[in-house]
Amino acid sequence: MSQFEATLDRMPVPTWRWLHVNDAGVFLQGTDGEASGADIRTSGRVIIREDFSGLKPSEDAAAFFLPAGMGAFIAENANRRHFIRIPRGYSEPEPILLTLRLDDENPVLVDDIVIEAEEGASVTVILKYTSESGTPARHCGRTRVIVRPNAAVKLVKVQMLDGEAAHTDTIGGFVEAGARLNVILAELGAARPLSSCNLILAGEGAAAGLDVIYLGDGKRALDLSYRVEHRGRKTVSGIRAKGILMEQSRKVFRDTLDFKSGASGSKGREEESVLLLSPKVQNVSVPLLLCGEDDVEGEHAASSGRPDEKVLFYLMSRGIGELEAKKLLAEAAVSSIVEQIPDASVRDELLAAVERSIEKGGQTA
Amino acid sequence: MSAGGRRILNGVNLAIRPGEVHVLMGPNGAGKSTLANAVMGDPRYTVDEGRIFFEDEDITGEKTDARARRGMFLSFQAPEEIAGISVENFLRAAKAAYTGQEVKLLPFRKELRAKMDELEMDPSYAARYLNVGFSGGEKKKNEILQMAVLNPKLAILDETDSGLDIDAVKTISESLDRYKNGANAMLIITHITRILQKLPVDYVHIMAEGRIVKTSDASLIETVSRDGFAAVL
Amino acid sequence: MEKQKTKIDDIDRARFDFRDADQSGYKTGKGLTAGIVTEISKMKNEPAWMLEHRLRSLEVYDRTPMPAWGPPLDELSMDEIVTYVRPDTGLKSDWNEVPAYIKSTFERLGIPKAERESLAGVGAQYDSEVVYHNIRQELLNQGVIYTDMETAVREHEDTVRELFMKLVPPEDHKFVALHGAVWSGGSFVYVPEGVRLEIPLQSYFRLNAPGAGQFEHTLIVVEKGARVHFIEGCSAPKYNVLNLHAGCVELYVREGATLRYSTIENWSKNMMNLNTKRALVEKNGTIEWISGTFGSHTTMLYPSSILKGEGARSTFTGITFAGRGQHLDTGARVVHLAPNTSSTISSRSISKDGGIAVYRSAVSISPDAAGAKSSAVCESLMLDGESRSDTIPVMDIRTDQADIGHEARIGRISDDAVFYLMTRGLSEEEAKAMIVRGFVEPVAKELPLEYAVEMNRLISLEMEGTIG
Repeated sequence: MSQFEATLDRMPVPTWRWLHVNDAGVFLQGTDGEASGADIRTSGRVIIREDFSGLKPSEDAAAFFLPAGMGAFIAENANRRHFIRIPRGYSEPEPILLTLRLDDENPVLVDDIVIEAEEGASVTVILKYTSESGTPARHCGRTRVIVRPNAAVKLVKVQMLDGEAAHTDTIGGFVEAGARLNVILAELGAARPLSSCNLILAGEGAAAGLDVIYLGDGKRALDLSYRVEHRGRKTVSGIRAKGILMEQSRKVFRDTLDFKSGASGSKGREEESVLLLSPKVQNVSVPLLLCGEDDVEGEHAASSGRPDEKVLFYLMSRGIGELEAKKLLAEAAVSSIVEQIPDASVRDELLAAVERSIEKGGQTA
Repeated sequence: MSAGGRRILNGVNLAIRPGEVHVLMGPNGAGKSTLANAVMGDPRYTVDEGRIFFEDEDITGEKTDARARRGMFLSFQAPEEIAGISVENFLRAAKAAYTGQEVKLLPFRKELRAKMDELEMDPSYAARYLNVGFSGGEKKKNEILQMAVLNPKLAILDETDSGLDIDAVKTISESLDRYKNGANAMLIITHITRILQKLPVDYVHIMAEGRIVKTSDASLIETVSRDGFAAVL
Repeated sequence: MEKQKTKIDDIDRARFDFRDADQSGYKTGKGLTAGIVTEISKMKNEPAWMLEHRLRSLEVYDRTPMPAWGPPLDELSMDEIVTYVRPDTGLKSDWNEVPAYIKSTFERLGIPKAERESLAGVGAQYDSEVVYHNIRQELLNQGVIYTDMETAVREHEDTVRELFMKLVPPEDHKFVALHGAVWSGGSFVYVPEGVRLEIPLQSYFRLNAPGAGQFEHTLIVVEKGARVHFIEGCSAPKYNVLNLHAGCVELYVREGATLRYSTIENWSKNMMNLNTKRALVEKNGTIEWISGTFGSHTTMLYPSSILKGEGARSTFTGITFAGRGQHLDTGARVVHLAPNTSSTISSRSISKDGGIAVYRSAVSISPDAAGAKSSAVCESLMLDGESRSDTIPVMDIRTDQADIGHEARIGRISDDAVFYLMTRGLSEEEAKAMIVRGFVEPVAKELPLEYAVEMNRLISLEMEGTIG
């Protein structure tokens, strides 16, 4: 079984070492066989193949977060490969749903997925990852999206692996002129999720949205790094993250807006808010704003705190118990993002997972 | 006159002489504000054909500040907020630029205070940052204050009366009356006309779709107030 | 990366040389040796514990690598530094050698002639003895101690020994270690309990010691309930032939005391300014940092506040102006260690003509800091498309009972705002300069008037691009 071990650079620009945000270690194991437990629900003229000739390096946005060896490792060891292409001008009406289940028979999944929307096409792809409790599940994934001019892609990735699972995931998006890419990410499980996303707004008028929900319970340590690069003129982006931390979980969340010289007329916004439901959590935020172009508008805001006492009091004065009130507040926090997932069953599953988590971990000390 | 490749003004001929008060009216989107801004040299607009003359000199190619220093003033519809500079410091600097001479602090402060009193403005506004946090009405008053201090030869007022309560309109109207004399001139863009109560109006122009479609005397105001623009277009 | 490696190797060799023969390092003058450090200590007549401290710092310096982040420090030649550190080498240069732009800036800023020479490190030390003398009497009456650092080491040994480089130990980073070995000059201020000084103390009141401006050490203790405003530097460019400034500032703010520490730095454009400033704040004490960073080729400056006592407070108001050829990496650090502590950071930066301005911060909230509040607002103004402005903030929060917020904005001067000002007769340049001055106003208004005026003049000069 092949392995890959490395220290990954997690910051586009490093800072003081003692803050421990600059890098993270990763350890990957290859697979022995087929990954089972995958359902693919699709209809229409979307082409789904299991092989592809590879991406042009210039269009491989995921490479930003992957050291060279790791990309090759994934390519060689993938036991689930999908190339999803949406033909020119075609609009796939129903979301394509891939459900990937890890279980005792096939506990290791390395998935390498490429989604290409040709000119003027549009599609929604939902990737859902689950594992059984007790399974020594290991997941390493890479999803790369290419959105050709005036096309639109919505990518939803929901990770609901068991709390002991290993999970490393990287998303890359390359958006051409007039095109749009929306990524919705939910990181709810795994022991030490290492999640990254790099979106390049390459063409004029390209737009991207990245909405992230993350959940910390037990002793989970989340290491998240998300980036949008504005290259083309008049590009627009919005990163929004909502987190809930409980028990002794910890997280490092980095979001980067990088305006390259020449991206004039562009606008970018990043916003993170974290709900803290217990006193022992560790909450680290690094909202980076990098700018080489004067004619842009960039802003970010980060905030965190306990549930507002006045709000809690109000809810409880209407007969709602404290735990119940916290559940409501947590749901309210993530609902604006969950709403955007165009599949009722996935939404329900997600909310149920959040609720279960809070029941388990949302007690105050 | 066009901006961003789109033609906005299409045939405007306007002559204003010293001592005159011109009123410019018209439906929304007619191009009134565009005209005012363009006359001041807003870099967003390019003149495709025609010229602008000020006191017999061709200023079509001149930059905004040069035009201002000649004695042209524009009271904006939505004045910019400039943080960190007080109203007083700004006006002193502007007056120095206008007159080309140093403006001494204490005499200027007295003058400013007197003009603020005339406009019934709270003296504390002198120390506040330029337009920052001012209500719409306060911003308009501040524009007129600037006009009173700089005393331009041509005052262009872009919808100065919109957003003002009756008292404020009266105060400003009185201020305009004080300003007016035989040597200066005004071009007033307005919807409402209450601001004109005390002013003797010489010409009224109606503008629609980027051109002036009708010019007449003060009686035109009453016609339009009664029957709407349709009556005259 | 290679260049830096070479320099470290050189210094290692020098140490090896020293072990072989005492004199060799001293003779060649290359590399920083224990011999040179010992010489410095002897010339200053220091007690043994200070010499020990210097030698220990030298060891730390030798084994510490260069920082792995931040602006490139390739222009720093550690070999040359040694030549200027030696106390028998005059640091002063010839007035004729002072670059023309420095001289003309003095003129534009209206700096008096006597001051100019001192600021340029030339000839007679600026003797503001008369002004200083009057203030000095007033201070003595209140029991305030304000002397240069060398005198303090001798005359207030106990206090100094207890505190010197305890807040900023040599282990912190390579340039603090260097500072620990070769420090020279600086101020010692001690304000007794309950004394509230109305007039600000200004660092260039004192007579300049040789080496001042390179590695000066400032140590301030403000006792319980006392209050003082200390101003360091001025907006006139400080010219030094030696291009490294590695100063250190340690501030002790005791219970209920308030210290305002203002700095306007305008180092000449050849300087590498690697400065370390830190404050330790006790219960209900307050530290206020006011910081204007204008000159230098490269700056790394992050005033830090350690909020140790309950209710301790830190405020930081800073402005950084990075022009052509400048790489200014500045920011702030705050550590909340106790309940109900609060901090605010307000940082503004301007970049122009290819200048690089970086805001770098770290706000840490420990599990014991229940009720902590921290808010940071960062605004960057970019004046053209060649410059850079980067914001790298980190918030590390280890309690759920804290309110932490951070906002940052990047933008340019609005065309509409420029047009508006031009319609009032200001030229385009004047309009932009006015907007920029408005942008830095929050810092200007915290400074005594003459500093604010100087700072505004400096900005006008920077905007014209006539400096450097």
